Amino acid sequence: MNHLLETLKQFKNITPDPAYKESSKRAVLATMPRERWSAWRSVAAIFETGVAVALAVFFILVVTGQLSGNSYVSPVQFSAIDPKTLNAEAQAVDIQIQLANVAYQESSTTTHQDTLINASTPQMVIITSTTEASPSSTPAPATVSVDQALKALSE
Amino acid sequence: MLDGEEKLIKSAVKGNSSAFGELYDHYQPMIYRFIAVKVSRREEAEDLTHQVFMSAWQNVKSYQHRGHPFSSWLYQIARNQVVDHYRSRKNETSIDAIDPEYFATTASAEFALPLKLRMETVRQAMKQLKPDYEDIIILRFIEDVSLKESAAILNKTEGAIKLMQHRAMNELKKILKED
Repeated sequence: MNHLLETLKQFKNITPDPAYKESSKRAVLATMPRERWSAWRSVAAIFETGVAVALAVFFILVVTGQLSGNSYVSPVQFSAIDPKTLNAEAQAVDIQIQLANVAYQESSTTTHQDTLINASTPQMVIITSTTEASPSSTPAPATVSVDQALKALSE
Repeated sequence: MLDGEEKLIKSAVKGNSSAFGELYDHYQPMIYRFIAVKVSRREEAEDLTHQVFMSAWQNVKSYQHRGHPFSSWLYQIARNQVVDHYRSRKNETSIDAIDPEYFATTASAEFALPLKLRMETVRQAMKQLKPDYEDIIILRFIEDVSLKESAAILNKTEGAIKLMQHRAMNELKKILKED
């Protein structure tokens, strides 16, 4: 019995290699301990993930334009690219042109008659005849550009 | 038990690596010995000891002091590591199938040849014991761990530990054919 106990005590002389012990210690302490689990931390983590996913989906929809058709939901309203605004502006431009033409026709009756300026094709202006009363009238070209026509009218 | 152990443990639980380093320096040799006696090779003992302390450090924030020394927690981790080790190796090879020469290089210690042979004989006999009996012999007769701490490590009462160590020694003597 004593012989066996003495033999067992000899096992206590077993020691780890010092180099191994030091390298193992360094490797262990180089890592970070895990955070303790808590219900509040888990809820917070789930909430964070949910918010991140929701934001990502929201921005993807905005980027792909899926929300632009709905003015109540769409967060970005650019008046410059709003179709209604653009249409209204286009209409206003047309009206101004027409008003300008009317003004022109009123003011030009004393100087030029039968002058046709095609608004739809502003590059081509055809003047069919000139007034006889004009003292400095010169033969009009058969085809003139818009700039030439405007210059002539301003004179 | 290490002087100022409670303070070191509290500091380690807060993530202080130098405090855990002091605990490591104090307890690593005994955990290494515990594993080295149970496994066959020095490399295995080193790997498992490393895993024990890695696991302890990784989970130190969940450690709860219950009045037992820090070593009892480390011994419990070590026991689980050894069990997992043998469970994972079960399908690979049988211990009995290995050449006895394989055990020639166990843990690092210089012993006279007769003593070395005697130790190897005792160790082989211990391997034939039930795991709990092997553990109680290591804890009580090699490491001189108290009854109270042994009971905490093995999750048994002190009375059960007394009975177990008696039976374990009788079993070991029977295997070694000693009186």
